[in-house]
Amino acid sequence: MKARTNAEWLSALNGSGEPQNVALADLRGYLLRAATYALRRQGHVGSAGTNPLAEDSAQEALSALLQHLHEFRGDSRFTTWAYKFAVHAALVGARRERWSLRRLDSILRGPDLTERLVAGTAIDPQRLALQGEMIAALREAVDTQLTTRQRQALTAIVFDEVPLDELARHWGSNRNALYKLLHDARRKLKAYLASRDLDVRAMLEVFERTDRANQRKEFP
Amino acid sequence: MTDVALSRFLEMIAATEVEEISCSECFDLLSRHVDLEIAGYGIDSQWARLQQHLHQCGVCRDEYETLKDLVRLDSDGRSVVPDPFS
Repeated sequence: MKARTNAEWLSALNGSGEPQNVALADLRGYLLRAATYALRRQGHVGSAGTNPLAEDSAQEALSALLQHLHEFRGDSRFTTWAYKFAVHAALVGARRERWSLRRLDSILRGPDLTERLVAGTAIDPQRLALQGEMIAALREAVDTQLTTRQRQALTAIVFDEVPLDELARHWGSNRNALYKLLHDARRKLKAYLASRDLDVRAMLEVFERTDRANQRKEFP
Repeated sequence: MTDVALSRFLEMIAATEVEEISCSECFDLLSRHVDLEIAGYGIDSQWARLQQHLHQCGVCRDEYETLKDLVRLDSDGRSVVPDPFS
């Protein structure tokens, strides 16, 4: 494939005839390469030879890229800008495939966020008591500050590791809206804990120091 | 519940900012910042906002890390995967 400057890419893609066709073919090659790399990096294995998901992702990426071509500001290499469309399409596709077999409904019907917040594992009784107080404050924050949807989203994403875009798709929403819902939830929790004079970094330290102490006891 | 999940939960709350960029804004910034990071350029306010989002959003973080690895391999002159057209 021919190496091009940003200006040469734009000129060829916005042009016509043979130069445009050659640039489009080259661009599709770059996108297929990027999609294949992204899928392999995730451990996604296609059938021997070509990977159908990589092919579909490259095609989807090409279509999205051409729709946004006028937005390219030239603040990165054109190929880096192009790659991101392919990486995005491939990783969304891989997550969709992986999660198509999981029942998100049953995950969402599982234990509520407050039920997932259980006492720590400190061996030292004083630290265990401190952890208990912190968990109680966290549960109170969750109970009093969050909507049902915010609790479900946090439980699924933090505790069940459901990808954000898969949960958004399941709810007929989108990534931006779900991110905002989670951001609002985190802000409310942080503010509530601060109002109770609880510093979240200090809470984190209490649980992490316990983990390290327990590991030393278990593996001297 | 695992302690790992609890730590992740607390970390997400601790790292929360009043203003955070959306996933779409993050996507807009990806290519510029991947190129800047690989070139070893310094941090600006936009970079901090992007990193804050990546810290909170696993799917955007995956995309950023994948893109960075891909571009780094390219800039090192190493073939990422066999050229499908060769």
